[in-house]
Parts: sequence; structure tokens; C-alpha cells
Amino acid sequence: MNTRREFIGQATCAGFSLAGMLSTMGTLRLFNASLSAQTIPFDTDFKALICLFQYGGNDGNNLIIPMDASGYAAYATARGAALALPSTNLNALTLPAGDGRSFGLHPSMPRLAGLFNAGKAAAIANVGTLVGPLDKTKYKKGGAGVPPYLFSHSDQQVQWQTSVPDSPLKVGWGGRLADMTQALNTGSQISMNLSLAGENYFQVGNEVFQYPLNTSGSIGLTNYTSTSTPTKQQYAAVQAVVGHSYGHVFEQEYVNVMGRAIGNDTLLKGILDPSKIPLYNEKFVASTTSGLGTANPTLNPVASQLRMILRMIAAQKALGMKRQIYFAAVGGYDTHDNQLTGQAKLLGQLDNGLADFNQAVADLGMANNVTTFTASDFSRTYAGNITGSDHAWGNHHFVTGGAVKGGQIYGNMPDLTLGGPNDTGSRGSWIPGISTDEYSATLAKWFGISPGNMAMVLPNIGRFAQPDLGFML
Amino acid sequence: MNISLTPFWRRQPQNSSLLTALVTISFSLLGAIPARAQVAPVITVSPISQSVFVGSTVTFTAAATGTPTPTYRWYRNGVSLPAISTTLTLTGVTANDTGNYTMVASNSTNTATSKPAFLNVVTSPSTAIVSFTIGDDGNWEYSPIPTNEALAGRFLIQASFGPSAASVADLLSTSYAGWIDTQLVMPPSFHLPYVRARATEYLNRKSGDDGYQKPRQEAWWQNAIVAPDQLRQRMAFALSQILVISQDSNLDDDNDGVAAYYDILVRNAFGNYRQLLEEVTLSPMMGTYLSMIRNQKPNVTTGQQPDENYAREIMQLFTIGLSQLNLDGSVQLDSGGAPIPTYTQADIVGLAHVFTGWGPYYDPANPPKKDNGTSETSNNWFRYGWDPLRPLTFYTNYGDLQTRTIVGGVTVASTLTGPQRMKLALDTLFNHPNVGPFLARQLIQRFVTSNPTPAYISRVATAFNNNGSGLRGDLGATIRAILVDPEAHRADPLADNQYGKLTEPLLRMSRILRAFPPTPRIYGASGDNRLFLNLLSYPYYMDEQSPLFSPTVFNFFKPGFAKPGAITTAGLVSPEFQIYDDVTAMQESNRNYTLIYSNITVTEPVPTGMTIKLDLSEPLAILTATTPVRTRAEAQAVLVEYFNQRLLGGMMSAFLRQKILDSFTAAATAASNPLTYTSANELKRVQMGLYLVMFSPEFNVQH
Repeated sequence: MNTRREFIGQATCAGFSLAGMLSTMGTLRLFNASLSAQTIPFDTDFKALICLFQYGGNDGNNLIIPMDASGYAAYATARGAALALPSTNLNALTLPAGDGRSFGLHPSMPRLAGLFNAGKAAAIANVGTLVGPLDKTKYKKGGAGVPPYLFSHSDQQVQWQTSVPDSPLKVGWGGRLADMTQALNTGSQISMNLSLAGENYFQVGNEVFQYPLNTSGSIGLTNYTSTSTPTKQQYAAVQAVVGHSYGHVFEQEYVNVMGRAIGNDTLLKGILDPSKIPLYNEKFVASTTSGLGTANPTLNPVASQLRMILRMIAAQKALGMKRQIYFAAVGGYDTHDNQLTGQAKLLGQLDNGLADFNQAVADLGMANNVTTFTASDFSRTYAGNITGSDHAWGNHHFVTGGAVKGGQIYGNMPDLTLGGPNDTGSRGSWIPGISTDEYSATLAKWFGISPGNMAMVLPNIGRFAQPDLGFML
Repeated sequence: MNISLTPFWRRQPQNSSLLTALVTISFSLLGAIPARAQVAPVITVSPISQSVFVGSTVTFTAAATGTPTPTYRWYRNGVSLPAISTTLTLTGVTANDTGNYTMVASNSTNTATSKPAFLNVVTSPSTAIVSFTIGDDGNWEYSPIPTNEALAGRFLIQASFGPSAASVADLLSTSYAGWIDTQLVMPPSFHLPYVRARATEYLNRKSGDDGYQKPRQEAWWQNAIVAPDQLRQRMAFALSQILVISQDSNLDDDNDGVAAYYDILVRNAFGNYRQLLEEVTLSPMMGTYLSMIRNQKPNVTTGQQPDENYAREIMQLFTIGLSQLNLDGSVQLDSGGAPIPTYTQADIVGLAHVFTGWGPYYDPANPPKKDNGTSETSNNWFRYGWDPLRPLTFYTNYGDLQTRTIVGGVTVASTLTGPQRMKLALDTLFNHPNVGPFLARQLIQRFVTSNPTPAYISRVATAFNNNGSGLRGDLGATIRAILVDPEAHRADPLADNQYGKLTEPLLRMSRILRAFPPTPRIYGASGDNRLFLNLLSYPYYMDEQSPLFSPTVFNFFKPGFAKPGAITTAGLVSPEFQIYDDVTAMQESNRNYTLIYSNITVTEPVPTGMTIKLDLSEPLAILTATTPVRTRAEAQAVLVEYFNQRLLGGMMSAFLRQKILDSFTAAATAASNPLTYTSANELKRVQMGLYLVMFSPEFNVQH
């Protein structure tokens, strides 16, 4: 008998898969039936937190759009023809009874709307970098009460990822979170902080360092285990070089990276063998851009990272990891021009990647163990330039997963009036009502940090009113 | 009111005369020509900047039109010279002749002034260069020249794409300063001509296929490996990481335009930063990448405001950075100990308004034609036109001409024309005291060390601020200052375990390809030395670094990136570590494995496809030489020392040396299939040694 969870999972998938792909999906499901049906054991107290960063500054004003008549009319006027989305294709969000408001998601995100309406996704409205609660009057005074270098990509990316705008130290809150919970991963050779998108500040800890993964699996040295001459002797020398101590700090770091990569590859090649942890290509049909049905299909950039994350999640028990923190990212959101086409494509990829991933996690039975949240440099100006918009501030983000108390918008939508009480100036750059600290602390609490210890992960949390926004069950 | 920017016009064949015009470019910011019987002068050819040695003869040529025919006069730094024709000749030039030269054409209606040409008179060769070695008596010795191949190799790792037998011999015949001075006056090797020729070959083979990005990558590798103007090419490469555009963007199909942009960097590499900044700002490639092209003045009806993208990035990344700096690159602090921002959001808004009205190149006297032969209107061309090669034009209808305030409280008055407003903005940014230290630090990081001392930055910034002849922004003087500085020629680089830098993937690859240049296959006419090397296909694809292909305008790595761990604990920065991690480490090692033991895929000839190999004949000859008579062990030691001098600048540790020699011994005495001394096995020995050298920290970290 299907559990309620499985029923919802399948219904969601069937409801939103493309008609032409149904038969292919069916064929793939049959073909991989043995693997899909294979139950991979997992620790019920396992948790994985995934930061999905939208580099460049996603325009949240076109992510959640007012759908009531007067709200939409004002939106269309303020944003102008070059930026305003037509009202006809918005994906309506079902809000709790009595809420009274009407909002819709971008036309490219029907599946995220479906997750929201099924209670598996929550929206957090007008969240951004803050050094303390801020209103327009205080903002205009400037000074230390306002985060430095607002509207600068590199600085806002760092501030989102560290959540300490007023400190030059570049330690990420994901790093501090791993520092605090690393005892749960004793015996694991692999770092808790796993990056699918290279170096980032989110995963820089005081003790725990990030470990980068390739989207297609672990890479090792060519013919590393060969016993032929002279390959064998060559790699024996390699091992000596890697094991040596170097006085020069750059040389030592160079071999540290090399040595760790070699060692981790040996471990991961065993654990991630496709006969033990499936490739899961058939879970990402909607996210497939080419090679559908082949052994090595190409997925959109979001999904290709999430697919590897899925495999590592499935391998958590074999890896001895009770906790995992992931960083995935996609760029291209800096839509100074051609925003309508640019953002539509990016959000479409995000929609499929997130939805395919969430469904696949649910299929593993691990929906309650995995939470994904979005983040970005900043939102974009409500009033645009000719075909795009410029850098702004407070943004809307989504959290997805089985442990999310979904179907609600947390926080307050800003007053969408140009020059109004929430606008830094006249172009619609919203002063955030929720800090990255409160957003992050809610996630950290789910991950296992008690309120008393929260300041170790989010040092500025004491300045804000809501250390738990309530969007996690 | 949807505005579509579908570039239907971009596929039209290019006018080949555009290419010539681009190479000798100097563009005018003058306005339109009034239609009268008498015609005001117009400069049609501006003089071209030159660098020459003291004592040379210099000729500048310019040209102008006008009715009546104009009279001419030449000026140096604004002071008139006794030269009244379109040609200016100077004989026996001295350092006092260094400066900006302009020609002014006058007639009864008006005057016109050419773009300035900068004459750089170089004193040569200089002996005021520092190179210290420890003599046999243990004392420091001052010597102005590289005294051995290792030192020459070390300098060439800093200043070129890698040492070769020829370039080492060349450097050993002169001094460091002498080598630099020769490089400063060498003719540039450009990229666009190569790209155009290759694109034509592709199109002749298959209509519609111009080779996409392959020709541009081929041009880059061809110049990196073969071009004699190595320092200029290195400087252009360094500048491409500051004044960033990338084909990983909406420029992905603009192969000609991007090559032309790179040539702006090549041409101005030893010129003046003010000139470079202007050419970059008015490049249609940069205009597209950072969305300044077609940026419009505010629209009071719709409420649209000018795009702020370029205004922000030109300040943050191309000129002054985020915080006020001291000459030594340190950040100035206010009374509360906090950095002082260089600009406010209001400054960005002001500058964004100045950066409006600039659209694709348009000459009203010779407007572009539609398919039906009628002329494009300027309004139409502003909104829909395209010219990937020529600089942007100012369109009065679309530019903001109100009084605005930009950084430093500078007022841009409403009486100024669009080009004058642009000039004022660029002058203001260029003259900000931050520019010298801002650029000095980053250029030092690209050539010598990631963590220069404040004194080193000061010395280089000083050279930028004043090249010794009163000129600000002289890039030739700046790179010279970087490369002759004592800190570039530390006698004891290994004694300081924080000096130096992790090298860049592209420069590691180029170092190998220059040391062991693959033999170019002759394709078509003999004498064709093209390698057809683009390194775009597996396993050579370097996705962590590819020229003009960074993920964002923030380059492949940031100047301030510090790898978490011992590097941050030591208070150091390590930019190149931002793209060096477990994944890229494995990918590169395996790339090297294929490079050494297998083949390199190149793009010609088709359809058979082709591979070339590293030319390891030189190390093989060294290992197998029969004179002088040596034991096997001695021969192997000589080989390893050869690798040390040619590839490591003499920095090989005793530990690495021993490990390589041990691996030779272990292979020769292996229980199963020992590596005997056949010529095939001697090559394998060479290959194994090379792999280990390329794997070593000494190869990857430059001291």
C-alpha cells in the first residue's frame, strides 16, 4: 500500500511531467526498475542542507508577482513593458485560508508552484543582508547601520554567504555550521562541506574546509594503480612528493590539495560505483537537455549539480556522514539587459532541477532529511533600464523539502511603491524586512543547532527579532 | 512597445578595409559635419604612437581634409613645434622628446586636432638592474645580467610564456633591462588577422561555419608559443584579466570582435592607460558585455533609468576599486578604523547618466545601408545596428546631457557634448590617485608574486604616476619597473617561504609548449608555421582557465582571494588558488599525462584530423649523448638538471631531484619488465622525468 508520501510524490511527478516524455519515462523506469526499486538504507537522523546560489542577483520581483487586479495593474505600470510579465501565465500560489492575498510565480516555474501548493516549499519574502533592523529613516542616515558595499556583486555574495556584513572575516555560516556539527561525522574521511560549484565563502569554516566535487563523479590520476613499468615507479614518486613536507606555504597547500584529491578519489570510486549508488539519470528527465535515454545524458546546470548531490546523499551511510552541507550555484542572473528572456530560461532550469531533485529524494524515502534553499547577491530594481534592471537589495527566496512547513509566504512582501516606505530611493530597491541571519538561523536550527548556540553560527542573530522564522516543521 | 535586438545584420560580410582601419586606429570624438560650401577641417589620419631608442629618427604622419585646404602645425605636450606639413620628422631623439604629439589642422572656418601619439624614447641598455648571486666566496655579488641558464629561465617564466632554448640564449647575450627594452620596441603580433584568415578558410570549406571560437583560441596559442613579442603578449594577457570581457556570455559568437578587443590590449600594452581605458570603454565588445551600448538617458514617461552596470564596474574593477588606497596599496582607514569607500551609489548614478547615448559606430557621411540600398537612420542604427569592430559613436538623441555629479564631486556640465562628457569622466577616473597602486598590485601579481611588499607596490605605482618624463599612465614604464625591481630578482627566493605565486594553468601549459614546441604540420603552402592548436577538446579543455573566457567580469580569480587554511593564517593572499582545487588538480595532472605520453589534437587538416606531439628531442639528446662519456647515473643527473634550468628556473629542491633519480633507478631495476636502455625506453625515461617535474610543487609555484 502506498504511503501518503509516496502517493503525493507520484502524483506530483505525473501531474507535471511533459506528455511526450511519459512513455520514455515509463521505459526508463522499467529498465532501471531493479535499481530504482532497490532500497538504499539510510540513517533516519541524517540531514543534508543544500545552498543553491543564484549568482548575479535574481530579480525576485518577477519571481513572486501580485495577481489581484489592482496589485497586478500597479506592478505592470511600475515595471513597464520591458520587465512586466503578462498576467496570463503566472502560476498561482495557494495561500492559507484567510490570507486574502493573491500571488503567482514566474511562468517558468509551474513545478515549484506545485511544490508550494503541496506544502513542500515555502517562500521567504524580502530577505537580505542587514547589520541590524532597518527602516528608511535609519537607512538614509547611512553609516555603520547599513551593510557596506551594497549593490556590489562580490561584496554582497560574501555577505550572503557569511551573514556577517560588518566583519571583514570571510568565514561562511555554512562553515561555522559544519564546525559545530562535525562530531556527527566522526570517522568520515570526506568533509561535511561539499561544493559542486568550486570555491565559495559559504563553506569556509574555522576548522572544516570545503571539498569540491565534479558533477560527473570522482576523478583520480590516470592509470594510478597500474603495476606496469614505469607507470608504477612514476606514481611511487608522486606519492613521495605528495607526502613530503614543504616549507613554502604555497607549495605545501599545493600538495595538500593533490594528496587529498588522490585519497578521496580512492574512497569515492568504491562507494559511488554505479552498481552500488545508481546514476539516477532517469530521475532528471525534465532537466535533460540532450542525450535522453543514453548512458550519459546532459542535464541543465542546476540539475547536473543536484544529481551528484543526490548520489552523495544516497551514499551517506556508506560514507559515514550524518550531516552534509552542499553548495551548488548557477550564474547568469545579472540581467542588466534582455531580462525577460534571460530570466525565463534560468528559472525554467531551476524549476525542473529543483522539482526533479525533490521528487528523487522523496523516492529514496529521504524527503524529510533533505532541505534546499536559494540565495542570491540581491534582487533587482523594480523600475528598470531599457530591457533589464539594476542591482537592488531585499529579495524573495524559496526553501524546499519534506521538512518544510510549506504553502506560506514568511515575512512581509514589501510595499511595491517606487519611492515608497520600503524603497531605498526611487527605483524600487527594497530595504529587507528579514535578515540573512534569521533566514539562515531557521535552517541551522533544523540542522541541529540549539537556540542557545545559534550565535556560534550566526554571530549577529541577537540583533534580530526572529531567530526562527517558523518555515521548518 | 517591445524592442527586439535580433541581430539579423551581423552575418553580412565584413568590409576588409575595416581591418586595416582598425589596426592603425585612432578615432575621433568630434561631432557631425555641418553642410556648407566651406568645410571645416577633419582629421582623417592621426599619428601613431611609437617607442624608440635614444638617437633614432622618428617620423609622425597625419592627414586632414577641409575646404579651403587646411594649414598644419605640430605640438608636443601642447607646445608648438616648427613643423608645418602633415609629416613631422625628428632626428637624434633624446629622452626630452618623449611626450604626446598632435597635429592641428586649421582653415578659415575652424581647427581640428588629431588624436595624440605618444613617443616613448627609451634609454638603452640600462645597467641599473639588480641581480644578486652568492659567489664562491659566499658573499653577495651584484651582477646586472643573468649569469646562467637557470636565472635566465626564472626571468623568462616571469616575463614571457616560458623559456625556450632560443629565448634563453638571447637573454644571456644581454641584460634583463636590455631584453625588456628590445621587447618594448618590437612590432606587435596581433590576433584578429589570424582569426580572419582562419574564419575564411572555414567558410570556404563549409558555408555558415566560421570555426566559431576555435580560430580565436588558435590565435592565442600561436602567439603565446611562437610570437617574438613575448612581453607584450604577456602584458595583454594580464590586462585581459583586469579589463575583462568573456565569450562565456552574450559575446559567444563574436569571434572577430573579441579578437579585435584583445588586439586593443596588445596594441596598448606598452602605451598609455588613459588611451587604453578609452578604447576599452568605446569597444562594442565591452559595450555589449557590460551593457553600456545603447544605454539611454532617463525616460520621464516610463520611468526608465540608465543602466548602472558599466559605471559600477569601470570604477570597481578597471580604475579605482572600492576603497581609498595609499601609494603602497594599503587601504586608508577613517578615524574609526574602517576603509573609506571611493564612491557612493549617487556617484554611480551620475556616471551611469554620462554613459548614455553610445551606440554602434555610425558615420553620417557614410551611413550603413539596409538590404534595399537605402541608408539607415541614426535613430534606427542606435537601437538596432551593430558594428563589432569599430568604436562606439555618441548619439545626441539618446544621451543624457544634464548636469551630473560623478566621483570626487566632479561636475559634468550640461554645456558639454556627449564625447566631452565621456572624456571628462575617463580623465577623472584615470587621474584618481588610486589607479597607480590599484593597477600596480594586480600587475605584480600576474608577473612576479601574490604578496608584494608595500615598498614594491609603491615603486611600481610611482612609475605609473610618473614614468620619469612627467607622464602618467605609461604602461611600458610600469611593466619595466615591475620586472627590473629588486623584489622580482630576489637573490634568495627560496629563503622566504611566502614569496612567489601559484602559477596559472594557461601559463603552465604554455611553458611546456614553448620548451618542447610541437612541430607544426605544414598545411597548404610550405612555410606555414601554424600549430592549429586550440586546446578546446577533451582531454585538453581547460575549463578552469581559457583566454577571454572567464565566468564573470571578476576574472578567473580575485586579487584578494586567500585559500582557507595555512595561507589565510599567514595573512597572505593566493589568487590562483581560487581555481586550484581537488577537481582541477586531478584534471590537470591527467591532461599533462596525455600531453606527455600521447598526442595533442589539432584542428587541421580535416577531415582526417591530426595530432602533434611535444618535441622531446632536446632532453632525449641530453640523456643519450655519447660525448662526453658518462655513466647512466651521470647522464640522468644531467637530464634532471636540464629540467631544473629549463622549466623550474633553477628552483628544484634536493628532495625532488632525488625522487626523480630514484624513480629512474626503480624502473631500471623493476622485478617485472625493467626499463632497459633501448632508445624507446630512454624516451620513456624522459617522459617520466617530465611528468614528475610537472607534478612537482616547484613547477606549479613560481619563486
